[in-house]
Amino acid sequence: MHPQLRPQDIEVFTETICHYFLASTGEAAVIRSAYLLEQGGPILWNEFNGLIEVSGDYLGSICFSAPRALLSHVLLKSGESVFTDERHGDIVGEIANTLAGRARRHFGEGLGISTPQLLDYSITTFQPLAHSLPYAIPFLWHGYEANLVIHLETA
Amino acid sequence: MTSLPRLSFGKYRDLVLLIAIFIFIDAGVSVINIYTSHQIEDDTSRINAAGEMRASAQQLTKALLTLDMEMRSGAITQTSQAEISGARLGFLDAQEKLQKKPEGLLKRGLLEPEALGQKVSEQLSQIANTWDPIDREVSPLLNSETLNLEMVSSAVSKAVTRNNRLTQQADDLGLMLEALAQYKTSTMRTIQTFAIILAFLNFLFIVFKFIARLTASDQAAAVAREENERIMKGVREGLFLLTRDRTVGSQRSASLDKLFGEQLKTGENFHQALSRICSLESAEAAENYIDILFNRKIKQVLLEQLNPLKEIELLSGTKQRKGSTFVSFEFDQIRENDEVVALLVSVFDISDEVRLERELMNAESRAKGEIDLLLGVLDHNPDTVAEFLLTARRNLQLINQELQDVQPVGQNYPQLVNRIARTLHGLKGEAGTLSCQSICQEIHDFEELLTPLRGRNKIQGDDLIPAAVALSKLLSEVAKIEVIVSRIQQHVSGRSGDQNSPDPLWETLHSIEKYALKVAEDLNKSVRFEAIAPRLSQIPSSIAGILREAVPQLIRNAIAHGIEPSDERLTIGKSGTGLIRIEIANEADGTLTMTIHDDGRGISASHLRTVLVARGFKTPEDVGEMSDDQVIAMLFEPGFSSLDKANLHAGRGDGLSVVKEALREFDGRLRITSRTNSHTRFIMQFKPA
Repeated sequence: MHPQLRPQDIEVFTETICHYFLASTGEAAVIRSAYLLEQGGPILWNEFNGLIEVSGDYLGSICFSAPRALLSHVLLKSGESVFTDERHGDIVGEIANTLAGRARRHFGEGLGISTPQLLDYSITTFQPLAHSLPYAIPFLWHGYEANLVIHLETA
Repeated sequence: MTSLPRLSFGKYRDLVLLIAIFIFIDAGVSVINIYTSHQIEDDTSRINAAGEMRASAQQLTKALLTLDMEMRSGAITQTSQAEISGARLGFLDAQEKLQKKPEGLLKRGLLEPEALGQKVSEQLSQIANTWDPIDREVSPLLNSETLNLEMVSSAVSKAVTRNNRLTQQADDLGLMLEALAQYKTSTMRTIQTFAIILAFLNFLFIVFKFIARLTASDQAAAVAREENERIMKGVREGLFLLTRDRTVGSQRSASLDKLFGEQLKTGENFHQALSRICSLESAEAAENYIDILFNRKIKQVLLEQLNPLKEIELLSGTKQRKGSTFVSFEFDQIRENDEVVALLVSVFDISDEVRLERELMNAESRAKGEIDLLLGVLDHNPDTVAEFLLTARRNLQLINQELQDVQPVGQNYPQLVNRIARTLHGLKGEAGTLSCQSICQEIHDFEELLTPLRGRNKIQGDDLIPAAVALSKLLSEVAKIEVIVSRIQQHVSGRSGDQNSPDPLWETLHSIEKYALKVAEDLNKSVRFEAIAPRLSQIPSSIAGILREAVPQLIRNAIAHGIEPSDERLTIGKSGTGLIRIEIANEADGTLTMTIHDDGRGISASHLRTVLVARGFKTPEDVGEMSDDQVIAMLFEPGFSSLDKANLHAGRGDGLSVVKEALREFDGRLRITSRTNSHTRFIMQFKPA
């Protein structure tokens, strides 16, 4: 038995990201249609990738991926004047951390969630799960595109 | 009959008894006080009487001496006589007071010792002995006519000689009476002191006994409370009392709030609380059931089977666990004096049981589905099924690609939704003819979630998240069947040498027949399937494509829209079983003609006009200007259906849209003939390539 994610499970995370953009920049992000990330498909990762790994009742990962330019713009909108890699990574890490908290509340106590980690896209490899494909949900903000990749299935 | 309640002090009986003793002792002391004051008053009166006796005796002696002198001097004697009379009467009065014997024990004095009383009596006798001779001498003197000196001298002599003795005896009597009074006062004081000590001891006993008892009771209550708290904290079930006025009691187990996902407040109306955490229907059912439980005439054992709250799904939102939370309620009547005064409510978390039960049911259903799938696939050429699965996979991948590429501008999303719906509907028809029911069901679910999006001009990206999820499920189902078909293909290829190759056209028609019968069964209709076709060694590609994509749609439409239910057919003089017929014919000029015929209710242009207006596709003016052919042509528009509600086989308005696309793809022409309550024919013609 491999019960798949329900739409509301995915919407929990998209709403979290939309809320983050709105709260931190005052401007909402637009969600594009979600699709399945097929094996051998295009590399999705951008320069900055914040990943949380999930264990327990569900197995897999949730990753927020954004290009540098988008994050720089977010820093600018937030009134920051320092545009180092560290500050860019902080934003992705913060979003991943928020996703982790939301996942814990939504899926309950049976979910094990790792500390958010920043990944270097050059060494990231796509590890498919046995029974399902990952969902990719693109976000448009100021002409930039970020991506949320949800790859979970019941343990 | 009701009996009067018996007066019973219960555990306070001892306390009441001791307080009664205390009051009795106090009352006794008060009585003794009153009695003592009377005794003192009496004793004082007697002591005074003894003093008066002494004074009267001296006054008499003095008055006699004065009378003697007056007699001797010849003076007037009346004054002296009056004094003698006064003194005598004073003495006699005092004597009478003292001699008045108290009657009975109380009159004599409760505490008067008999010996002392005897002495006083003897003293009074001695005084009387001393006094009587004097009185005998004095009495005649009070009469003036018989008064003479000799009588006076004799009386003086008697009084003088006895005066000292009489005075001494009266003094002694006074002293005796004082001693007696002192004795009695002292005894009374002793009794009072004893009574007060007794009362005080009684008071102390009451205080200490009951302080000890209250302390023990408090300790027992504290222990009981502590144990109760431990039980309430430790027990996994939710426990609380439901009062007669349907409010929640103050004592409840700690797990209750956790089970409900919110706090159940003391005094809160249980029905309102239940309405918040579960469906309104369950709350209503619970309210009625609880009303019955409070009826004292109804025994709980009779009602247990009727409990509507044995499996309740709690509303999400506050739940702490993954998935649904199910709880079970049990109610136990608490009776006092044969009245149901409260209900003990036990709440159990049965989520795991329900989940396991459902998983088991799902597993059984899946196993049955997989067997049905296997049997269904075995009825068809595995290569045909494999070909369909490949087509399905490619189509689904195309849908995925479109979801990925579509730009969120203009009408791109609504157009994409319509394209997805048409693709799915075509696949559903093919899956149905090949008995792939699980794929049919997944596609049906997919279509269900697209239905609300269709007809909307504004669709946003997040509206399509459910589409991606449904696509994932559908791909998983296709992959599952691919594995099965692949194994069957391996098995069949190993035995292909033993088999004669069947006629491919008749094999396909056989599949369509089975599909038609399945649709009719699902829609509770009765149909007969006929096919007229030439023997072909190879199916022309146009016919193969139409058979695969268009014919299932037309068959479904014929059964869903055309063929009437059996009873309806019988009332209009038709056979109870409807007819579906496929005719394939080669014309002399090489044109291939395929006709799908049904003997149902036919297409009614006037009915379609009504539906077009009712669904808002056209205005009444528009339909008035349209010809019957134009009205019937609307059936091929995406999203239009004459059915009010979609089911597994029809009602989405995509079937004829798929037929139209297929005819366009294979360069076919379509002609429709129909007569109301008689038949409908879809005649498709394909020119030779």
